[in-house]
Amino acid sequence: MTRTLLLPLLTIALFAALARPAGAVLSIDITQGVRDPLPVALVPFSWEGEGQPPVEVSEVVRADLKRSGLFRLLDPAAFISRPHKQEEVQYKDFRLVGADALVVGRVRPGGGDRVDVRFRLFDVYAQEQVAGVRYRAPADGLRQVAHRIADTIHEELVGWSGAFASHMAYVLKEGKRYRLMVADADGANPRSVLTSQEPLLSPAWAPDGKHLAYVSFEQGRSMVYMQNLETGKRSTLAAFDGLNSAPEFSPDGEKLALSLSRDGNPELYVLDLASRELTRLTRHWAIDTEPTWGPEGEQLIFTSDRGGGPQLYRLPASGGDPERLTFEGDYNASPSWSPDGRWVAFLHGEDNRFAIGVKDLEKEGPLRTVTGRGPHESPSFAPNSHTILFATQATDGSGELATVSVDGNVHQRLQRQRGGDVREPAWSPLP
Amino acid sequence: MCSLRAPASSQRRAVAEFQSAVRSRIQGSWLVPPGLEDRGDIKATVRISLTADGELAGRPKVVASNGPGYFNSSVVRAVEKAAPFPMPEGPTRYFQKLELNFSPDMVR
Repeated sequence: MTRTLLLPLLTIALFAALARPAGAVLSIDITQGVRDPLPVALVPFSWEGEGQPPVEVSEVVRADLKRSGLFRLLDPAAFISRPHKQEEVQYKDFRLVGADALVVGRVRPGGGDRVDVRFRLFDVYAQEQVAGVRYRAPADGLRQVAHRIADTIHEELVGWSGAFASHMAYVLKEGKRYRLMVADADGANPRSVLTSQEPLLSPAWAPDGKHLAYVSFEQGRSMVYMQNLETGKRSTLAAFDGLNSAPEFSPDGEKLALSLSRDGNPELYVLDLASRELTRLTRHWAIDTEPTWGPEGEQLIFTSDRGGGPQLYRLPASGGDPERLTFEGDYNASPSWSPDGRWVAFLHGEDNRFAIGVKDLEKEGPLRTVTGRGPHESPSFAPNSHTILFATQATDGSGELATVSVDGNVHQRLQRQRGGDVREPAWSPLP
Repeated sequence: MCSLRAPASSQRRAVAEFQSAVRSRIQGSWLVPPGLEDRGDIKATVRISLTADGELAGRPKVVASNGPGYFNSSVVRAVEKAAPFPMPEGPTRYFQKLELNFSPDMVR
């Protein structure tokens, strides 16, 4: 009796479990994934003009994306098809070669000295266009177009710009000669904007990306200048008695923070560029220098040896009590505050061994070093707040610029100067 | 009562095994966008329908998300790459409608 009843009951119970109420679904939580570069298929762009294209645009894009370390560029030799336009794209061809994203483009003469560049970025799985831009540029502007394309792809795929279209300024010392240099972010197109037999130091970009402030000893003592990069015209910003050093533009470009010893020993000041009014921020017997602005221009981080050795401090841009930020190691200096406000990068030293250090200003915790120990100096944040540029030396002793991602995972060497020394790089804002 | 529990627990085990198999396949194919690996505050829910053979019956659909577009793209690609899924023996109807809750919590 019990048994005969049990079987139908059991069946009903089982079916009750299987037949869910309408709309109910089996739920699965996914919290883990893979940390691998995103596979990208970049089809070499077509050239629809005579002879050779002025610049292989897609090769510049490829080099940029590769350098970021976040993408794996697939070998075009393996591609089943080579589309240049949207209507030619067969998504399955690119799934088969393992691509997540697809980049295609065309380059052709655009009349006069102009060149037309069109590119499109596709999501191979969503089977849709993610971005598409058309540019018209003179032949000598094509590298810049390529960097902008790479920036767009970077931003669409990982959420922030690669800062490939930005520039860097640095000081090149060859023998006794100093050159203030400006180059593309990939190290290409280096050009000298000032040459001097006396030291040049501390280049700093104005937020417009068209002016540089720097320290020059051309007059036999330190003075701070501002130079227009388009016209070459320059003006004196600070020529006070004593040391004039470490200029840094405020984010709105209206002020300059700097370190002056006009009142005795190096103190921080803010110079209003329109009124030339000078405001003193620190009063201490110690050396206060190397100011770097926070994103809103309301605070500054700087280096001071008021605690015995160089350490980083933060204070309001209107003045006030500095708060000490670093406590680890006997040397923390040369700070660069990320434009998004989250990080400060600096030179971290212990027992005369130096590495690039990073501190997360939004979380409590120890500082992290993102490079090994070495002859590193002058970290400078990229406008994307994800990459840090710094000067170092190759094993043969020649000066070199290098970058490291803020998580320490991606390291790149940009440029080597044989027989020269590269110093004090500064990364420009995005154009 | 004992005989009632046995099939229910085997059913539960089948469900757990299926969930675990799907989870492990998708986790193996999910390229978490850099910078979001430990952002447990970002969540995306994807609904999928499977055929009796475990193939995707249609495109995965993001039904809720507080993450950026490239995050949503990454989870859809993860599901598409992970398919087809291994289906359990017997009736599969219970296993054909799934809701996948993505929220990256990878330890640095």
